[in-house]
Amino acid sequence: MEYVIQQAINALSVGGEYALLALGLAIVFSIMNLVNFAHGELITLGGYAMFFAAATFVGNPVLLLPICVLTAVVAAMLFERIAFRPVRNAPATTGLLTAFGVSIVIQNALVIFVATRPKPVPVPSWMQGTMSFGGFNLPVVQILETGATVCAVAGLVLLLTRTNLGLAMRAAAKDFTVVRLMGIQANRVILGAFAVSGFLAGLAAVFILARRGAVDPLMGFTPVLKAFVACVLGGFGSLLGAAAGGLVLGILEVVLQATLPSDVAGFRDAIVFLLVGAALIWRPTGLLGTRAELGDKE
Amino acid sequence: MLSLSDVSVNYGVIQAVRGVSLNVEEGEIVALLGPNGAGKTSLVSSVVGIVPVSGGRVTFKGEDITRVPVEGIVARGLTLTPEGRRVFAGLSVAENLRLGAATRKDPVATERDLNTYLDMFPILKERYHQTASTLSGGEQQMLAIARALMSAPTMLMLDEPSLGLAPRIVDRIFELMLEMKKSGLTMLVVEQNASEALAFSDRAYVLASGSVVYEGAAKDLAASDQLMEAYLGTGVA
Ligand SMILES: Nc1ncnc2c1ncn2[C@@H]1O[C@H](COP(=O)(O)OP(=O)(O)OP(=O)(O)O)[C@@H](O)[C@H]1O
Ligand SMILES: [Mg+2]
Repeated sequence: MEYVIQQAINALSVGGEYALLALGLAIVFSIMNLVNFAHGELITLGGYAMFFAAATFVGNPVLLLPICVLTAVVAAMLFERIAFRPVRNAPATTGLLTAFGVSIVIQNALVIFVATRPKPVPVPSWMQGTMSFGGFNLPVVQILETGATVCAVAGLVLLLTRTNLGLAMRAAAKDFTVVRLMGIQANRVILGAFAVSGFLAGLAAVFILARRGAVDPLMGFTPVLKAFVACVLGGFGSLLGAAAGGLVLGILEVVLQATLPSDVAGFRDAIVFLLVGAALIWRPTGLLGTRAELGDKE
Repeated sequence: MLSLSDVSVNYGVIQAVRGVSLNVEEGEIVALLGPNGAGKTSLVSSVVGIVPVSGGRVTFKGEDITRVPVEGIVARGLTLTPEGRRVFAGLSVAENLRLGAATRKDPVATERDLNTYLDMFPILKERYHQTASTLSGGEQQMLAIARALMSAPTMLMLDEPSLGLAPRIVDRIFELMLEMKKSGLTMLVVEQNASEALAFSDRAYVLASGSVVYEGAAKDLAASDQLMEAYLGTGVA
């Protein structure tokens, strides 16, 4: 029984992590039609911020967590301001190439100016322990991650439904020109979307780093790939789809990890992608995507 | 209030608007008529800044707004209800109206305006929490107009507000426009429904192939079967 509960919370936390990352990708995509492949670098930068802060002036590892999130938010906003704004009206492929460019520049800058080898990132020791929860021993990181995901998604829903900025983001995803006709600054809406995506990436980064305990220049690649797959699975452009896609992907991975015989366990990701591919043949628009959501841009 | 001099709009090599000069005085309703493809939508879109002006000058309240971005033009009090209504289908009526007022800093006046427009368009009050996609075409047009009014414009351009609507609804919308005129709003109305539009407009411009081919008092144009026939193909049957 304890094993089942442990695997369930594991699946929720991995799924939550993917959901956070996928939501960040989806919120930018839905507004700008841009797949931000530099999204993974937000995690990397958050990690390096923790490393440098710990190495210089921050003694208490708890303080490193907000530093990570804040760094990701600021970095996302800088990406928008410096890299994506100049190509905003260019064809979609230009945006995509710009995203790859940002990603490559950051990875190489870190390789050249810091190091290729992983750097340790201290996290509060209680995060790495286990806690007793309803009589079961569960890892603290996973419980926190699940909780943080739920809170972040709830916060996002509130933002999108209760604030003018959130409303404008939802409206801009459908018809940006008319949002501007309401007098709403396009720049603010887009910057807001990047800030939100940075916040979600920063939050995911905290947990990714708590698990790995180290940061390296290329660590953003796998998470962004998973988030991308989650978005495609859920239906690109749909926020609900991104969250659902992330959750399903995480659960799928954990279930396969737990049930595959050890000699094929190495093929877990291949099997996951095969299943995702099959799901897309069955529903080409993704689980929750609709034609309108995918193609209804002017 | 609004003045265009020699305005052109190009899409690549296509010249949609060729050197149009036009004036709208404060408190007027001016009709902009013309056949399909004449360049009416292109013209009003360029005035409000959603397509770039390729040549000429646009001034609003004496200020050059030719290169001002959309948001800035709306902030100066000039807005447009676009062709095809374009309400935010996934959002509720309430949310659509809230977005219209998103940049206003005067909550008291905003609330007052909201109540005024809900009284003016009772159907919106009835459907206040419903998704805009569930509204009929006429109701969506009313929502589009109310949404534009929520930004407290001093001048409103309407691009074919009667498009695809039943005659009874069209009459209602034109009545509402006269009401808005009484409360001091200046309007430029793009219409295909020429004779009806002329009935409530002060002056009219006729556009054909991107150029102004007629300008004058609305009643002169409406009264002349010859003119109507020549420019709009809608005179004596
Ligand atoms: N985005 C665009 N790209 C290229 N050509 C365009 C574009 N929009 C309009 N045009 C062309 O410009 C010309 C004028 O179009 P416009 O939509 O302004 O006419 P209109 O008078 O509003 O017509 P309608 O009464 O059908 O709405 C047409 O020939 C049209 O094909
Ligand atoms: Mg038109």
